Amino acid sequence: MFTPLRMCHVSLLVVREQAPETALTLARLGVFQPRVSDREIEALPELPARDYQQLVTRADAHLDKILDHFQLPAAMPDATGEPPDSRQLEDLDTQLARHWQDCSRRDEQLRRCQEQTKHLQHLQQSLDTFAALDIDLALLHRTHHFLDLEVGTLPPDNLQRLGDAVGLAGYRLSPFEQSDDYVNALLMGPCEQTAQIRPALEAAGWQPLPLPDELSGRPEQLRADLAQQLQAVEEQRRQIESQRDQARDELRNWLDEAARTLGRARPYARLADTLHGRGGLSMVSGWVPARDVATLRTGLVAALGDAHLMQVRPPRPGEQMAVPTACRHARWLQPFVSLVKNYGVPRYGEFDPTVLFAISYVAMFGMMFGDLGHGLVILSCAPLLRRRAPRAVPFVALCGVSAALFGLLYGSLFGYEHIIQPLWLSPLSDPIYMLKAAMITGVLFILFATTLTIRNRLAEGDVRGALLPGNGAVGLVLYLSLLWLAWSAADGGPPWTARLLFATSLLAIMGYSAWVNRDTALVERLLIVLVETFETVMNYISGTLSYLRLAAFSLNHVALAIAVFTLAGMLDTTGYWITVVLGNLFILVMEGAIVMIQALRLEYYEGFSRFYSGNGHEFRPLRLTGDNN
Amino acid sequence: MSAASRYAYLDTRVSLFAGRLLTDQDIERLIQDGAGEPTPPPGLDNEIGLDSEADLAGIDHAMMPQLLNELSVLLRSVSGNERDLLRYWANRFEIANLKTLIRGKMVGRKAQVLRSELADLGPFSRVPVDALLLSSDVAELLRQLEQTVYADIARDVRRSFDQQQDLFTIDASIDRHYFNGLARRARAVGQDARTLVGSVLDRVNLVWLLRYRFTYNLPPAQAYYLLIPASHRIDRERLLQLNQLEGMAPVLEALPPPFDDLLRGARSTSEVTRRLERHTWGVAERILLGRRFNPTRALAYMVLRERDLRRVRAIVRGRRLGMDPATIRVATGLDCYDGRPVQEAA
Repeated sequence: MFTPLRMCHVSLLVVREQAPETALTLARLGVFQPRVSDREIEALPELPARDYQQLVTRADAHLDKILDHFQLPAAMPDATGEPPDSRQLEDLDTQLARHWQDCSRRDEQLRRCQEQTKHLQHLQQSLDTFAALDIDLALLHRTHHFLDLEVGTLPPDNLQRLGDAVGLAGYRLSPFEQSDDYVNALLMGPCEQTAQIRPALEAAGWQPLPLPDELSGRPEQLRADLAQQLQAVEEQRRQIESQRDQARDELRNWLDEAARTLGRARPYARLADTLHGRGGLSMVSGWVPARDVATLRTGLVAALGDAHLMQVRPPRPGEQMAVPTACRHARWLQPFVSLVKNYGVPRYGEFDPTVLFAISYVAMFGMMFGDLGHGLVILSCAPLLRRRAPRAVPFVALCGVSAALFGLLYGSLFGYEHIIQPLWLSPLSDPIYMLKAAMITGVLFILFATTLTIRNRLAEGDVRGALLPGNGAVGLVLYLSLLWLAWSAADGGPPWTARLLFATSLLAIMGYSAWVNRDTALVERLLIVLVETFETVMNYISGTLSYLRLAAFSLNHVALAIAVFTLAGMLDTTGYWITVVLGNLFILVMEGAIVMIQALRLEYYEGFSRFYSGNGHEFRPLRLTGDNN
Repeated sequence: MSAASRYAYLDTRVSLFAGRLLTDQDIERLIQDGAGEPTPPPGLDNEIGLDSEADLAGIDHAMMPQLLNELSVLLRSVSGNERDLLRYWANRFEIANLKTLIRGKMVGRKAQVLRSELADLGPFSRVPVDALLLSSDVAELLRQLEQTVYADIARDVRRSFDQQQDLFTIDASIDRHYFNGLARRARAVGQDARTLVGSVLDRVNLVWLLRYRFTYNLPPAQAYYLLIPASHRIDRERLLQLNQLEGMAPVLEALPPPFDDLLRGARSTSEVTRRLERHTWGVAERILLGRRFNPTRALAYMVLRERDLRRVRAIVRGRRLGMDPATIRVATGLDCYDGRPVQEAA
């Protein structure tokens, strides 16, 4: 609960033919995270799964695109059955590629239909302008000996450039209608230069407009023709879609089977960078939670028989940073796990602060936002989040419960301080007492955090780090002596033992800092030592004072309520209740959000920054679904 | 806010980076080092090895992140149009990737081979490279590209592809799009940016014009259409006029200042390219050294830094191919000064 699961390093040696089966078994068991080992790279330089991985990647890409084309969901991988061999995979990819060719062709046809529809619609719109073009349209249908005359469309961006370009060949381009996508233009010039301008016209996306003979006499006919063409395109689109639906029905089962086959191939492909080999042997190593080693062993024996060699050892001292962190937490703790991970993943062997974080966060929230009514409102909001943010439900519910409990202790109900009797005290009745209580909470929190730092360093084998620096054992003594000095200052002056403790620990911290920076120049070292020591002392003092906000916000809560009631008191009955309700809503939303952030700030900056490195990496075992990387 | 306070950090950064730029003497020294143990140039020592064993692809892969890392440092201190211009400048590498992808797909090259030819742009990449690599043909690739920030380019390429399936036209269309966008962004930044980018555009347009007209023998109308519409000193009317001339010499004679002087006596398109490149570097150097608290200094630095990396690459390549120092000198642009041939400049 307070430390990550103990991990073991497992090395698996198998014959190359059985490597895919081994990978599939490992994925089925879901307890093995592969790792790259330099030692193995040297001894076993080959990467036997590389080609297989490329096949799987290619087939996967084809399958994904086909499923997307048919708008089919991805099938869940099937744990039963054998992984396909390279030849089967190649066959599967060939078939998938062939089907994708069909799908891609349909996509392209649909895209063309879409463009054609757009073009025809544009023509429909421009028909009126066409009719109004100030030339004899019959000219456009005649073949001329010297004059090349053509009507067409092109993208507006290309108009100016094409006009200039055809101008070089004695042509003239006159636009007569423009929209966002197209320009209709009349192109005319000497016939003998036609060949000169054709490449430029093609590069500019010039599309000649077919003008029916009837245009000059019967524009209605042209409209009808365009409508007919549109209908034909629409019909073509429907046909393509119907072909797609038909193909989907025919292929659905085959695609499901293909997805399952690929699902069985993926684990081996995912080992492409970590599975090494030479000749007929393959080896993969990685991390397994110690409690799952037996399960792994049984699973491998069941799948491979005796044809494998499994070596298990605990992590070596130098490997601590490479060992992944596996933490197991109850479901209700998941939102707190996310908040802790937001700061960082615990390093292997490091204290996992999730439970401590959950308890202290909820308590601090309640202390700063203590109100029975507000707490119950927050609690009642929790079930509403079940659909949208199910993981946040326990977090919100616990914050609500904590606020309600502190509300009972403070005797506060929707800001009314006289309806229920406080079980402890109303914050505003004795603010100094509240501030003292907050400070004591802070002192306890900092003492606990510093103790955890010492514990974490000892667990890493860093005895010097646990003892000497400002956040180690000496720092703890310094903090305690500081507290003693502060306490006794108000009580007739500090005793010599407190002074001695303070001076000794301060000197020890300075000495350690000087030793760490022994390679720097004397003046620079002196400066560093002074600044670092000053920072250590200030850090303890400011950290402790920072917890005063626990009391400050509980006072603020009451003060805000008083402000609301003062405003409400100036109004009539209806106005009074409207103000009270809106004021409470304001307090709930605004102050609630601020308190949540403040509690998180105290956790991260005053707590985690003292003892929690958070530079570990999460245990991500090889699984049938998802990516273990 | 004054320019000094607005660009103080950028200016300091650019000045610090500018110390890494290689002088002609540095390049000369690198060329001369060919026989013995090569000395790494300043600013490149840790990142790029110049030993004879280094493979060219490896050098390319080391150069690109270095260039882009420096660009991301500079980008942090600019915003608005200036940031947009600097960021867009880096699109040239992605454009090169897209051209490689389209070309590769047109000739049916394998995804694996294509991937090895693509520059790794890290966070500067704005297209799903993996998905594009796995597309089965150009049509699918363009459909995917239409979903990205390069939708305009994809549509334009599709038009060219549907009509001609001609690699050359497609390449030209992509480049035209890019340079057009660069010109638009430079106009939004200010006079210095217009001058620097304009010098690049003039070079590209002039070189393209010579190639299209006299190497590929395209008709004037097509050649003109394939040029970048936005030019700087060579305006639209001049481009139209130049397109109608027959032969390289008349074109060079009809150029406006300063190109008439710069290109007098140039015998080939590659010589024109080198002289104009050198001219662009001169413009960039003048902006970098002569301006303060000016965002275009950052762009000028990037232009010069890319020049350095390309020159180093040319030296390594030259050595690998056993070229003599004189040839490498030509390849690195050391044979001309500020656009003019060295002898003439002297």
